[in-house]
Amino acid sequence: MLRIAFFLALYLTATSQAATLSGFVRDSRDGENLPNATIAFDDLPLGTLSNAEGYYAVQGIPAGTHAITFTYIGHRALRDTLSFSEGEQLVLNADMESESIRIEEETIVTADRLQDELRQQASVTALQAQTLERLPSVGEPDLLRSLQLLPGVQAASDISSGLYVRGGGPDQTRILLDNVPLYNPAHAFGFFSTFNPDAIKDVTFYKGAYPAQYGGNLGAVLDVQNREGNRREVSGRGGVSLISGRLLVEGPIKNGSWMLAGRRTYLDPVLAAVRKAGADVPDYYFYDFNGKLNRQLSERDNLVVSAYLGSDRLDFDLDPDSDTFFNIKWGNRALTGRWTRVFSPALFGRFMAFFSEYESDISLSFFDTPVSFSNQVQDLSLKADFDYFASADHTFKSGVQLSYYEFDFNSAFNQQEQENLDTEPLLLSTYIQDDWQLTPLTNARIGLRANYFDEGQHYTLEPRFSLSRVLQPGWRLKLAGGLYHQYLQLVTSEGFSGGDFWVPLDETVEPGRSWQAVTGLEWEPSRRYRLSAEAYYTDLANLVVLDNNTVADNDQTRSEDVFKTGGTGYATGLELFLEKRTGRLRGWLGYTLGWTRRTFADIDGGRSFAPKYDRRHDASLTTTYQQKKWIWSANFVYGTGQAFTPASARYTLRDPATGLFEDRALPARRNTGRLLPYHRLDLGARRMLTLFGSDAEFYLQIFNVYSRRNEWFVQYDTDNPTTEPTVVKMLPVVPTFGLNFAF
Amino acid sequence: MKILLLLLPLLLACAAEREPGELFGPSEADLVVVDAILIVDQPMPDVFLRRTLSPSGNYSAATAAIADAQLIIHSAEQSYTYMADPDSAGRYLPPATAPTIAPLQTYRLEASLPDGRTLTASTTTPQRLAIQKLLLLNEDNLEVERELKLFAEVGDGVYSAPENEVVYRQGLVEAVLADELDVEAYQLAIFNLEEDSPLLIDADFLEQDDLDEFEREGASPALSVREGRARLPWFAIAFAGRHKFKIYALDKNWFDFIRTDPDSDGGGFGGLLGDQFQRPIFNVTGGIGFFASASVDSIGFSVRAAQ
Repeated sequence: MLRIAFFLALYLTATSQAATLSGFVRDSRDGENLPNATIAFDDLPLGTLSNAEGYYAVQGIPAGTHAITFTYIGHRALRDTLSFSEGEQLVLNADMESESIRIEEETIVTADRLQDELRQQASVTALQAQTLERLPSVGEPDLLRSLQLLPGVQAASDISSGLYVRGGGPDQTRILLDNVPLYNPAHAFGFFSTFNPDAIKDVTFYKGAYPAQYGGNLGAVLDVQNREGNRREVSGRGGVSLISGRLLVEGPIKNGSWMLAGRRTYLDPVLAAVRKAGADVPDYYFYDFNGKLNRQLSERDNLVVSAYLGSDRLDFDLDPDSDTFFNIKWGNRALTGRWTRVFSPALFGRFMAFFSEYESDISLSFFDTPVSFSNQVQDLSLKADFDYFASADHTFKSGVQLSYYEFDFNSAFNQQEQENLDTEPLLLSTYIQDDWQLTPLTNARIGLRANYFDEGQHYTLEPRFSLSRVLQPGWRLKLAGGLYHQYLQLVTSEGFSGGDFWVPLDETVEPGRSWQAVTGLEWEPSRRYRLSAEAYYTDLANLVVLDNNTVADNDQTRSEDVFKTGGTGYATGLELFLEKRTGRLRGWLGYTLGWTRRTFADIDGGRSFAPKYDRRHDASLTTTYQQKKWIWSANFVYGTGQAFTPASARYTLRDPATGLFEDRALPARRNTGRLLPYHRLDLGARRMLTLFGSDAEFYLQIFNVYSRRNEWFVQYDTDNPTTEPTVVKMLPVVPTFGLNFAF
Repeated sequence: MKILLLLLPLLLACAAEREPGELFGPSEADLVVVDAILIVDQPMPDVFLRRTLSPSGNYSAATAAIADAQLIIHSAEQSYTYMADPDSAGRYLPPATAPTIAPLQTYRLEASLPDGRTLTASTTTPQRLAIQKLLLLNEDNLEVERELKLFAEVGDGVYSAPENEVVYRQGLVEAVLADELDVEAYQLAIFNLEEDSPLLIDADFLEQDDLDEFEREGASPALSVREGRARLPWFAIAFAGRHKFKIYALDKNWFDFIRTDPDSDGGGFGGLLGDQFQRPIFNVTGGIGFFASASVDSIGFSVRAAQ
């Protein structure tokens, strides 16, 4: 620690005579802060990226007149020329003009891309709300479903928005909304995510080898930032689809802004009408609400208070007379206070206190026999992060987070408790990270994260590393890697995310561990095109998988009662990504060649097996084409069929409890069969129009245009002398339409 | 876009249909299957030996029978040689002098086939299980409403004792064990002893096909029995009349099999669809099947429809 302090002091001294430029990068239209904007000096090897709040600082600027260029995806580059005297501390807030959605010509100004290129690290993808809105989808734009179109990311099925990233399950991806973990980001049993597309400002998605500022999951990180509100004027946007209606309103307050966004299904009155007509259908609805208040307290201080509330509820009263019903509800709640302060032009601090809660309750009764499952996670955290723009070559990030959790998982059958897991673990994490400009052409990010988890007294140290080198203009080489641990385990169900639950890994189970290594080569001949290839390898240990059939015959359920433990595995693959980023025709072509394996002593006799989502080949083509007032879009997805366990023989055995003879299908070795390849084409059309004097657009989307009935899973029926396999299929063609508007 | 539209007819031709046989794995026909259930304090059981058949052909248990094996069960330095049942191919009968199954005893089975293959398995029986009380609880406050008679008290009179007549879906029937045993798990089984008693279930959401599928016997997944109390789930009862309710205390083999058997999945949440179809843990060497033991006790009562 002393050594670090010494170097920091050295940098401060060395740069004290040079000038400093700092400020915020914002969108000129609504004043939103722009994270990850590039700030580059045209005539000097100096530059930086804006942080999550849009703040930047460049140290070590020699006296004189210099041209500076600000660039940000989807915005016109902004150039300015400033004169610096020795030791001067200039503040420049950059208001960047958004590229209009209706542009007909390419308007991006090509800036000096050197700094931009240098800071592109491995396995990270940035997406904007506008990109999401243009992609065809089922019902309405959805962040998680759009991410499934990226190479290395898969869906388990047509009805699942769960992210299977580089051979890992949804449990291995950390999902953050405004820096707060969301413990179940799914509506409608996984069909949609909880992210309101109108409220999203910025998405950063690390498919692997994520930096030290994040922690807690073995695989990937999805960091979603919501809008902070329009600082210029009251404005709004919304939409109606076949599924839900949504509305966002935002506006300025004195020295700040506010934002309110809500979304709700209107399926419940429709379902009520169907029930009235005599059909057995459940009552179902979901809603979510995002709110944010953003106030600049002084030139240096800013306070943001934000809230998220989302809930799903399904009630299916099958037969009141026989006391047969199925009720399920789940939801997330989060409340955050974030204070940021510019301590000095070079030192930016961010202090957060947040409370995030996830709750799921499943209550069913079948002929007077009640069964219930409930899970509650409460996460109360304090967090402090510092961004220190130490010099032209070094930007340090450091932070500390203390999280206090309350986990409660209960199951009961016939009014008798079956499982009772109730723990209150504490997680303390701290990290330090240096973005180091090693040479004018080489940028490295070196970090170290330390964790202490008090359940089981686990201490872990996690080194992280990534390097980006410009080989020649337009060509980048990337390397990244790190060690990761996971203390909280998500148990998710394909097609039934409402039953998702979280269990902390206590002293009876070792925390999950992964080593990740990534290497990539990227070619960007112009702003228009980008071609990248990335190879990855992840070594996994201490994996767990739910053991549904274990019997927890004790008063206090422990982690080992819930899971099969001690799993190992690996995931490796190669991803190719060709992106066209500007012009009327935009989109990407992605391809992944991948392998992933798991081994558990308790599964298939300890033999290594491919999980269901192991896909050898996975390709996606995503395009949008703008033609005057029309935007046409198309997705084509192809993937190797998922792994499944086929039947290899048939035999007879008595049911030991009843003594009745039963014919059975013998499962072959686990997941040694393959379903047919998955492919699907989605088409969409959007027509811009003016509605009551405001911008609007009507859209029509067709999911699975040629109605391929992709295979989902296989069941075997042995009721007859011939063994009859049945393939359960996924969704057929689904057309949807809707209207979006802005005011 | 144009390319995609041109590809559309081609894609439409890519139907996701195929022959059922393509959904079978490499055949594992001719594996030896043992089927033996040892119950504490009951006679040594019949043992069935069969072979697996290919899933793609027509199956019959008679074709699968293995009739010419040598079968011995060893226990406590004693060996019991089984004889093939001349009336039922694949069934092997214990010697007439064989004792009943003892608690806390290890039994080892050896089966030798004429082709030289040998199958072995062993089980250690659990302690005796005894039901001490049978109660009818108020379903709202779980207070005891009355105590029912046990087999130990009135024998088959349990089915006619007035205390043992319960009204369908009124109260909770609870069996109290004399001791909590050190076993892996318990399993419950229910038997309706009538042949044509009326169906008690009457729910609007069930079609006639659903009602036809209700059976007079059923078994639970592996369960824990909290504080020595096992409650009978009403959904296990579909018909009126006499019912026998068995509680099994399981050995490891029995527990391993039923907790991993895809046909008696314990339910619950988590995992990917299709993943539950996995090979059970058989604990049999040289073949597959079931060689396991349990101790058991039973209760009896009669169920009538509400007025």
